[in-house]
Amino acid sequence: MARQADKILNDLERAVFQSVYRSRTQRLRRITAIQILLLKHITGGLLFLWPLYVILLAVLLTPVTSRHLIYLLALLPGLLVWFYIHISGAREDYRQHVRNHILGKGFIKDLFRKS
Amino acid sequence: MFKVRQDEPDYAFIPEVEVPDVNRYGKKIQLVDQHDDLAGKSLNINGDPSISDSPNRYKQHGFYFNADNCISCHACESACSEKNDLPPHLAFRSVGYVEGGTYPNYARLNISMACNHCDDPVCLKGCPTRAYTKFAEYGAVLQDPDICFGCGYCTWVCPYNAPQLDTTKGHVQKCNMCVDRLEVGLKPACASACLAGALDFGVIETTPENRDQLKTQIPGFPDPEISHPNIRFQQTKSLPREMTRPDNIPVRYERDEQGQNGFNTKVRGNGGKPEWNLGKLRSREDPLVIFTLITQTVVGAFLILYLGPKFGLGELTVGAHPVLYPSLLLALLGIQTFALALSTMHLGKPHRFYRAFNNLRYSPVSREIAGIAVFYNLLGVYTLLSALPVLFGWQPSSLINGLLSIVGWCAVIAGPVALYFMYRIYRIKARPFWNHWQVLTAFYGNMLALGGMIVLLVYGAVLVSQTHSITHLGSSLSALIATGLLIEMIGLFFHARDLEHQGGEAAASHYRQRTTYGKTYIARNIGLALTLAATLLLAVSGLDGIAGYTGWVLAGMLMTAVAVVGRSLFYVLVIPTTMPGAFFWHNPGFQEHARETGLAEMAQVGVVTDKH
Repeated sequence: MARQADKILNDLERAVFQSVYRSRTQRLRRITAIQILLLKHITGGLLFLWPLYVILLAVLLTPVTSRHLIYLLALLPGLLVWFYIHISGAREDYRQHVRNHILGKGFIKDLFRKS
Repeated sequence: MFKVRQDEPDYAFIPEVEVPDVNRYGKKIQLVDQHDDLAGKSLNINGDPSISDSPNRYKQHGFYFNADNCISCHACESACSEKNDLPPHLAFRSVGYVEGGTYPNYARLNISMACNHCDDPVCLKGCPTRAYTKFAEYGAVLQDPDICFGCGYCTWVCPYNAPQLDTTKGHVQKCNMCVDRLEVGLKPACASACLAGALDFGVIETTPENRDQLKTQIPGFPDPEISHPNIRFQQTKSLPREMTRPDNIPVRYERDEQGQNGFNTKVRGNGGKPEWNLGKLRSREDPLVIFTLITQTVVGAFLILYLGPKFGLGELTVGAHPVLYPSLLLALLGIQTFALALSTMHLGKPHRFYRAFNNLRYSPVSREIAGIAVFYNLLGVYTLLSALPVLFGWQPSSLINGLLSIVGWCAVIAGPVALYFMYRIYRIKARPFWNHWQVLTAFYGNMLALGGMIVLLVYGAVLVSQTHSITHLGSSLSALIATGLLIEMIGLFFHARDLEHQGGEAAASHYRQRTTYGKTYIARNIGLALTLAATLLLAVSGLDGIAGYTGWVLAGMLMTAVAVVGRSLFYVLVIPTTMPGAFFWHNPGFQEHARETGLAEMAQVGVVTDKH
């Protein structure tokens, strides 16, 4: 049986693929894959932008004043753009490696290796 | 593997011929040593020894183009598109032309061009992700779209417009020399499909059948010295004294009556009127406009904050403003993060940004990103140590101060070095408008002027609100701001002068600067002069209080507007030394028209919409 929907050539194989693809095991694996991809991309992104934590720390360690607003203004734009970038990264990896794919037992390792 | 058809004609096969040892650039044609294990051996792919058993497998191959024969039928383009399954907006090979004379003595010179698999591939060196490889097999320069993250730098540096940026997929693709066909002895699809005997293929420096010439230049072809391309031309028919391009690039080719070069590139058009065209200042490089300006501002502001107190600017010490100093550092960190994030948005695949570090050895893009990353991390550590001392209260203060000093000095060095790497990106031979030292003066000038202005405005606001004087700070920082503006003005003056003298695409860019964007260009220059005058006037007049601060705010606003317009002009004015296009294809004028009129919505027109 093909492991990717786009490699299927005939109706019988497509029907078998769909029945496996919609199974409970595969659904659970896809949900796990989404969580892994999100974790992987967002953690990776946060490692690159660690200096932003300094601003976050400043917000947490400073008594509430008007300075909070300035710190948040400095923090948010960068954080939002980075967040957008990494969510789209996770989405692309999902499209390439998870959607319309039958996930085998070693799919977690594959997700870290391939994407 | 590619399967050879039963009825494949003889001309579709690569002939076996005598090959010289070196090419005209002095480089060995045999790319693997005679005694190497690879030499003369088949790879035995899929157990078939007949695949890749060519004795010339490890020799540099190239294209041969007979311009006399090309009838612009586009069969080569079609064959290439079919072979590589390309969408309508991409073409690894395209046919453009130059034309001249008047009826009935009209002449047209067609040029079919793809990747020339150069001896010195500038795309390979420029690529930050190392998506390019020059193979010993046939000397092919191949690119892996899965590694590419779509920065488009290879499309900037290549003089032949070979790498094609697919904005819909977010990566670059290019001609792969049909290596799978070569492995079974066939010529690439384009050469096999040529109807008129114009396009041929073989080991380089071997004259094909029915040809006499192996020229490296014809009108419209960029300087071969840039990358030593593996293409040879034949062109014997007489041409008019002057040839022009059908696209909207203001360049013409004039016969060199005295010299040996054949044709010289000159500016086409004169008497064009200056226009504003402010709407056309927007481009794909908009994120880079913001990224470069913010980075230069942050580096400049940090240098002033760190070095200012050491040069007698008491207002900038932490002690003088214990709240403002760390707040400004945190704000700088925030906007630098935003700028870095924004710069990745210009990539086809922003989430693959980390691949930018892959080619530190050769790529100026990798070096720039690495340089800015070093500065950014040092700025982060410095801010952490100076803005949040409460976190390190358990450490001896001498240790923290020592660490602050080391990190501060490292950041002071790293910032300008990163800007130098940023400048190196634009020293591209195929883009003469950028290939000038003025880019460095602009970057360092902005660093001083914008960095100085932001520190002055932030500190000025606090000083004025506390009814303190801003004259000392203003006059001190105005020296830096004025120096920055002056450096930029000097650079711009020499840039404009050298563009004129240089001729070719450089002069064409300057022509467009004076016409299409003429009023914008003049307004920018006047704005620059006004900012300098205002800076000096405010410093000398000693204007203080709210009136003085308002003056600085206005000067700062003018300076920012001038910087944004100037940097936008920098990106839109560049004219590459690229191949001539056709009336529709590879004609930026037609692409613009197609997008404006909605033609681009029809995929078969071959122009992608701005939506991507």
